[in-house]
Amino acid sequence: MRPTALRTIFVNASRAAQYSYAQRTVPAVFTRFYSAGGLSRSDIESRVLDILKGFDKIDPQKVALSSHFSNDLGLDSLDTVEVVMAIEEEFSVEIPDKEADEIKTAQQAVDYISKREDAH
Amino acid sequence: MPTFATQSISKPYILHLYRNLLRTSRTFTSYNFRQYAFRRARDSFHAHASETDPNKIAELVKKAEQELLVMKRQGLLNSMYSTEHLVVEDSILAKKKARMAKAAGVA
Repeated sequence: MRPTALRTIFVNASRAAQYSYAQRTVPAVFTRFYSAGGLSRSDIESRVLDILKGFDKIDPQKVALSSHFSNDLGLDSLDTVEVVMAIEEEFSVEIPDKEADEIKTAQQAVDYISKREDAH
Repeated sequence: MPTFATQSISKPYILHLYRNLLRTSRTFTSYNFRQYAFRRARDSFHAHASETDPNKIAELVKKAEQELLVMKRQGLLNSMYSTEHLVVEDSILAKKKARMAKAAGVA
């Protein structure tokens, strides 16, 4: 076989591999078989709010999706770290420092978790 | 005269250290050790939350860094000699399951 023919086979094969990879990851149906992944938004919202309500320094009455951890719920920066850690634990994910620092409201936590496909 | 870091330690670094300590506290498999490590980190950080003296802060940060190393080592050791779950841990797990069931009911 000429080298060019080999090359063609290789390129086609790698394209096919990429194609099947894309096929496997894209459809939502598949993820459902493997884990509890693909949490629904209301599912995440409810659990995040429950976590917040269960935190000893938060008044459960004040908890809403729009709640800002420090402005509305009166948490300091240390408490905020604890809340984000509790959310991590609930959804079995590890949130990198940079992204964890960005989470300042219940809504942002929900948004972040819904982006994480490994959350369950 | 003690020589402490003259530049002030940034707040993000302290929060990073705190997050690291809390995260490492979870590596203990034994419930009692895990809770103790978590509480100790939490309580000592909160106790000094309003500290303003830079020398004192540097000293506390150094201490926290040392504790983090100890906790990392002990957490790892503890996970090598894991025991069965305690009854209290089952109830924590049950609470999480209840939250998930409730959330699924809402969905």
